[in-house]
Amino acid sequence: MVKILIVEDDKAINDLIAMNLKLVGYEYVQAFNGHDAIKVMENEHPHLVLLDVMLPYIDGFSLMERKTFGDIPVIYLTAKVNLSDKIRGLNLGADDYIVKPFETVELLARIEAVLRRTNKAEQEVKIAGTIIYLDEHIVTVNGQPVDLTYREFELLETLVKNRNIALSREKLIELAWGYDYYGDTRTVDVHITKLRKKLHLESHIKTIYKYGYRLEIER
Amino acid sequence: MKFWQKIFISSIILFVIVFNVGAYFIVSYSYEFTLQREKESSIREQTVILSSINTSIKNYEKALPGAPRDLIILSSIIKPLAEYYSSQNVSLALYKDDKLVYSSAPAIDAELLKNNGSTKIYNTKVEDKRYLFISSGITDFKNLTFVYVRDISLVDAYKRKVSQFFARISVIVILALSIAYYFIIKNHTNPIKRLNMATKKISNGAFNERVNIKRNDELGELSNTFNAMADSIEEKISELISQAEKRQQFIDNLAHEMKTPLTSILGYSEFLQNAMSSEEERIKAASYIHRSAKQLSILSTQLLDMAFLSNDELKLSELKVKDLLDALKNIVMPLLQHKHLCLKISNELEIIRGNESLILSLLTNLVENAIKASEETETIEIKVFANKNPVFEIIDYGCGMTNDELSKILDPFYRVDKSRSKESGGAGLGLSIVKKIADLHNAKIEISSQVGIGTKVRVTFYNSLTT
Repeated sequence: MVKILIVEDDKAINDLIAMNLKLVGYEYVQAFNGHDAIKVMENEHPHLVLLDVMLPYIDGFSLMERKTFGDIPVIYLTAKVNLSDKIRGLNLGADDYIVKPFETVELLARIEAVLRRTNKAEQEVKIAGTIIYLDEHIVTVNGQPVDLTYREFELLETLVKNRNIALSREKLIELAWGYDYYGDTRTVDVHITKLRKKLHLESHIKTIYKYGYRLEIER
Repeated sequence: MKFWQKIFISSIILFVIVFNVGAYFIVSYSYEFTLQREKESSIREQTVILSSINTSIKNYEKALPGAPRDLIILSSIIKPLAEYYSSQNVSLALYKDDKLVYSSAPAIDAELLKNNGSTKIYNTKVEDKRYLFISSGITDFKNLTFVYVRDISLVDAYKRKVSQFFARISVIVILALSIAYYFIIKNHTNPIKRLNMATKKISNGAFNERVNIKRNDELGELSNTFNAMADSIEEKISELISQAEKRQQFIDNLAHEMKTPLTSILGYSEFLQNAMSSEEERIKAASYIHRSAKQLSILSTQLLDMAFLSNDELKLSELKVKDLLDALKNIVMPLLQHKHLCLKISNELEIIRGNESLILSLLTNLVENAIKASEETETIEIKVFANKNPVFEIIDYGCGMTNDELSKILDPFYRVDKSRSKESGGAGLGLSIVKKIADLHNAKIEISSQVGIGTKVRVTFYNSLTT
């Protein structure tokens, strides 16, 4: 399982990120200041670091300068929005930069993108008898491959990456098919129905009343 | 045209005019003078020749009385004289009535002959040569006119030479003067150039630029004034910059202070809305939302307090110190009890001048800080006494601070212990507010602290009554 180190001094935000990571199936380690982060790195080997810039004792930039995290990809989490800080952060070897306040799905998407770039992302997801091979775009039910259209697969992929999180129909369209997709939100319903049927996921893909859908997987 | 060029050209022009006018008068005067001398000597010579001619004619008449005075005889009398004087640039002529008897001279103006026995002097140019004509009737022979002509071209030549000399001199002097002037004027106007350059640099933002001109004249004075002006501009500018930096820092920090609770409110509410969560997680999320909202609320109250302190005129009145301390005790009591702290108050003052609610807010803030720094069951002391001026001291025996922390303690949003003070609800503005209130009361805050031993905050009121 992918393990993520969260370095953030505000306990509320640190816990928030932790809860969301847990939701979609990541493991996590928490650190609340610069010293903590260094100590954690002695024992743990996370696959990715979420790093706040303004930290007590040793700030995020200094941690980067000290090469605390070695080759592990780093995403900054910060309230600072000015460009020079952004550039400085990225120059120090960060992989991405996310500004507080952020949406959970956005954070998850960034994490997913960085993990995919570094080949550490999840390859297959198992839901009951259904296995989804994310890289190969193959889905099997009880060992038998199932034909999915490209759009159906994209929708499924989005649900899987944001599992246990309810997504509105609009959000699903945006995340699965992109901003430029001109479709009725009813299209989502049609595709969901097909996915449920083809993959036997009737009990897992929940309809959230007047909102959207949520793929629920045991945690 | 540049200033130095103006001075240079006008000086040179003035000099040329004065020099040449002077030269002209000198040349003219000396010419007139020489001419006059030539005239005088000519007149003397003419008189001599005239009398000798007169005598010769008389002698001739005595020797040959009644003999006709014909032209040949007259001419034979004058001819030897004329030949003798021709070597001295003098020509002679003799007329009988209007008729020429003899002449070795150039053409003669007929006017000269109408002299009626008197002497006429006349100088004119004939064919590039100047001649002095002196005509007079011969003393004893009224119908004869003698004309003495002297070539005075030399006088003209002399004038020409002197003029040329002056022209040459003037060219040389002007050249020499120009060079000398150039350096002198350049040297004198150089400070202007330097002042100008310094002004340009300063206007381009180099506020540390100064001129180094040491002179005892107006330019030296000007450059001193200029430097003083530059000093004050630099000072003002750096003040503005540091103010702007402080404000920027304040805004940056404020943004951070607001974003942190906002991030958790947004995040947890999103979580509650969308996540498949357990009961435990939902309670956790709700309590975080509640806490963050409370934090924002405290922040906004304190910001409003600060804005209020910046804008409002202060109403001062005489306050009973005892009442103040009682009110303070009531406010902080719950916090003290929560940590089982003991509060010791000693008071030697009766009245202090100030704004009741502000002074109470100042003391509350300081005591709250002391409570935050203290461990359970420790003691906090408040000492009020007069040391020329009223002094309030708040002393704790808690964790204390390092010098580094002490130097930042008055900065807005600075927290000594971030995680703990956030949990106890501070926004990091407490001491900023204390500082503002102290400023409004002309009070001075001194903080001394040692790690592990404790912290002492002393507030001295300088505009207040001591009783």
